[in-house]
Amino acid sequence: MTQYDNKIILAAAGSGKTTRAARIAASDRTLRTLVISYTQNSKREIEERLFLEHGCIPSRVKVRTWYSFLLSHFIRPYQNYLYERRINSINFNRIPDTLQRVNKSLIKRYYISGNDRIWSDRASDFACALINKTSGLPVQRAESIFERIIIDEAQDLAGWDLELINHLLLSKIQIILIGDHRQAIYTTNDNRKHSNYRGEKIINIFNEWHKKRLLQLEKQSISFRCIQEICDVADRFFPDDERTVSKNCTKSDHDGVFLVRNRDVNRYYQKYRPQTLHWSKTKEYRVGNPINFGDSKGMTFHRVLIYPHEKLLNFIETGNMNLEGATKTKSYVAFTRARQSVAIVVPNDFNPSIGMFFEFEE
Amino acid sequence: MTISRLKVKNYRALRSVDISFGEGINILVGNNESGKSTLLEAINLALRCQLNRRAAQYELHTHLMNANTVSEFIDELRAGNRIPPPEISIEVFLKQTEHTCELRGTFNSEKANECGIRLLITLDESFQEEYLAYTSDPNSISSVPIEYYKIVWQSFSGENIRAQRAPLKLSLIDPSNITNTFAANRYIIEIIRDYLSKQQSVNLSLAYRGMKDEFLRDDKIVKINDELRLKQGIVSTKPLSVALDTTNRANWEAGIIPHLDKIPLTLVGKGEQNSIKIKLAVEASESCDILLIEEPENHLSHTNLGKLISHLSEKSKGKQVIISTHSSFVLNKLGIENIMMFNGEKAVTLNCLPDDTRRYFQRLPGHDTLRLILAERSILVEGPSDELIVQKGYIQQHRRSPLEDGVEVISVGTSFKRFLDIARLLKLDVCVVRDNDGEPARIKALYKEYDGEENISICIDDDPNAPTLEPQIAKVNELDVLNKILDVNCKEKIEISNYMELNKTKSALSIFESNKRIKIPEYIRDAIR
Repeated sequence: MTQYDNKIILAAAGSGKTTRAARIAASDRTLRTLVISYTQNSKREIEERLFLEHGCIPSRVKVRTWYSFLLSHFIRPYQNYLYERRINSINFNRIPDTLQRVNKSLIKRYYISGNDRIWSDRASDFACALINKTSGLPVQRAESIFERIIIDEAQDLAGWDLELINHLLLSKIQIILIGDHRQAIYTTNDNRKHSNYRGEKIINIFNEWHKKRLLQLEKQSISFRCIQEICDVADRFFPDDERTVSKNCTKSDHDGVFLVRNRDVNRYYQKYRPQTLHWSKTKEYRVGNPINFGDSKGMTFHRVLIYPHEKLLNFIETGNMNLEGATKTKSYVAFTRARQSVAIVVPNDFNPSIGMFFEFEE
Repeated sequence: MTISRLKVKNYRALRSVDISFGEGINILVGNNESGKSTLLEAINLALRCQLNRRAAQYELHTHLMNANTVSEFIDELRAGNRIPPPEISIEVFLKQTEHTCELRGTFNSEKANECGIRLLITLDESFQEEYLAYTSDPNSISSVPIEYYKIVWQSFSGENIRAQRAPLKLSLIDPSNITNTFAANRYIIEIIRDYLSKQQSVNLSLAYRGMKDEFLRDDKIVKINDELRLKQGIVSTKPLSVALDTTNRANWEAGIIPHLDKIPLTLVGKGEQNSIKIKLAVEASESCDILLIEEPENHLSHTNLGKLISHLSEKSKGKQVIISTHSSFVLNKLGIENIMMFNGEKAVTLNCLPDDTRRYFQRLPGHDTLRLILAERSILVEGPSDELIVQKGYIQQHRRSPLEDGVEVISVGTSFKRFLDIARLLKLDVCVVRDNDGEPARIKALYKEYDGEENISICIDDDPNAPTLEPQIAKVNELDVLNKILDVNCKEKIEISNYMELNKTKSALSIFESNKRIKIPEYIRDAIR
């Protein structure tokens, strides 16, 4: 198998990434395949899709979370090259400030917290250190176990994870990454390594790998979820990326992107029952049971009602895309949750350049 | 799937074991106390985390720890040295296959990058304080505090292993350890479960549960339950009824007993039970990767043993079999080249012999080698007349034949050294009885290389004037005693000595068969002990 079999599938929101991952895993069942997800929830989701696609989880397919994969295959088997006592689990807490600047050569102090738990932010760092120390034994071991590794939500990889992926891309294992840099809202760790690839900038390393011929790039710019009007507005967050084409042809009595004046919000909510989304918890009045932008990732709703943060409001007003970082990616996520309609709460005296006002017929 | 190597520390009689296994059949031989059964038990424990066919954590007891290790530990404590408590470690190294590759890593005592499984019985860290209290008065301690120990069961990659997902299937056939009816029943049930296909055991389980439902629908039971329902409010506010136990605890294993010719197996004769257990186990082992068999000859008639062994050599193709035995029959049938002589620490195979010696034995019909290997002790002699005199001497001294004591007298011609090579390798207890050929110094020098071997003694007489057996016998016995036994009439010792030399076997046979005692030359008595 050559490195050309490696690939990254960059797929727009609502294009069915998880289904795609499950479908690839269930295809060619002779290959020993590992599917890696980021959270327990997404692991369960992949397993459910495998049942949908195949009726069961094929015996040669294993599904694991990123950290359980790190621990079982890249940390423990050869950990005693660096640290003797068995690493029991992963400590997901933030590394205390007092330990932020510890010298890396103090293995125990740097990587390990109480009860022989490894800091989650330094887990892939430790894995890479082991690969160096053992001249690649963990990679060889993985090569004997897996022929194909599929990594879902690849945009969430960061720091030393990317180093580890680099090792995997160079191995005999076929690597398939699936992700969307536009939805890069969390990262699997908070390590300073490779901070230039943080968030949406993860696309840069995907492109570099492509240039080095370590993988093929495949773009899937279709959305089965959002109608075209929603796709068009969401695409304006990322003007450099390919336009998204909607495959949702369903019509309802209220389709599109609308601006709702503050004074109409209650009536609007009563009429269309949208899911409310907001940036974060606040003391201000909100209709419905709002969900944070970030937490809505992976969810689908018929309609959403968005309480915009200041910069988002500014974007609606001016049409100038000057959002960046998480405010941008999380806004993209929020916009792409709805199938039929996105409504944005705006002040009563608002002068927009995007979208149209929703008016009640008197 | 193949076990390539086993390392054991401090498990019962096995203080420190390190042995390698071959693919296919491995025959373990060794003295009774060498721990062959314990070795099989250790493999089973490490690969299944089971003792006495139950989950090992419920079966821990203080005697699992090697007795010498324990007493050394206590001595250290009494001397005021606070050393860490001893632990038991069993490591099974496996050949890498698609199924074992996930077991690869360096979680083993050598930090070697290998596939394998280890089981540790070690102090549970959460009992540190209790342990300190326990050891505070070393003079009152007589064992390790096993209550504070835990079992760590891991692959060499550091992953904890769960009992339901033991990575390989093996079958331990050790009917001698079945002490009661309960255990016997469990044993058979387990074998049947191994024997059934997945679908069959699901069917059995469903049928069993279906029968319980049937029970509830029975008219009589319905009536009883209706009756009981009327008691509502008397014993409880909820309706009362009876049903068969359908919880997991009450699965078919608990409710089903194997029958033989319509008689419950537990009521069938012990001998037949055993033979059925072994045969069933061998059948069941089809689905196993590794088969451990403990002394099959103990429980079977010769005919059944023959059947079992040929069955075994057929069915075990492509599997690893580790079998312990004392039977030369088993050994000969399964092939002497598969032998492993276990001495409690190491196992040696014939492959360890010098090349020419190995070839010598490969040409020889296996019988004499087997006698040597399986004997408690052997006396090697040159020819049949020496053998007869040694036998005679032994019987005179012990009032038993050598064989009754497990002592083999073997005629080896001039091949002493070949046999001694094996004896040295396998640490066998061997005496050589040999003529001095009139040059005692030169002949003795031939065996100088075995001087340091505790288990080998060379018995050669120092008198150059008595170069062979016959002059030696003539020398120590009265002339008329020999004349009577041999039914001759010689005038001088030299004459009767010459007569015996000319009629070697005949004379030796006469001496052996005679009911008269003779004096045995000293160098032979040294060998008889």
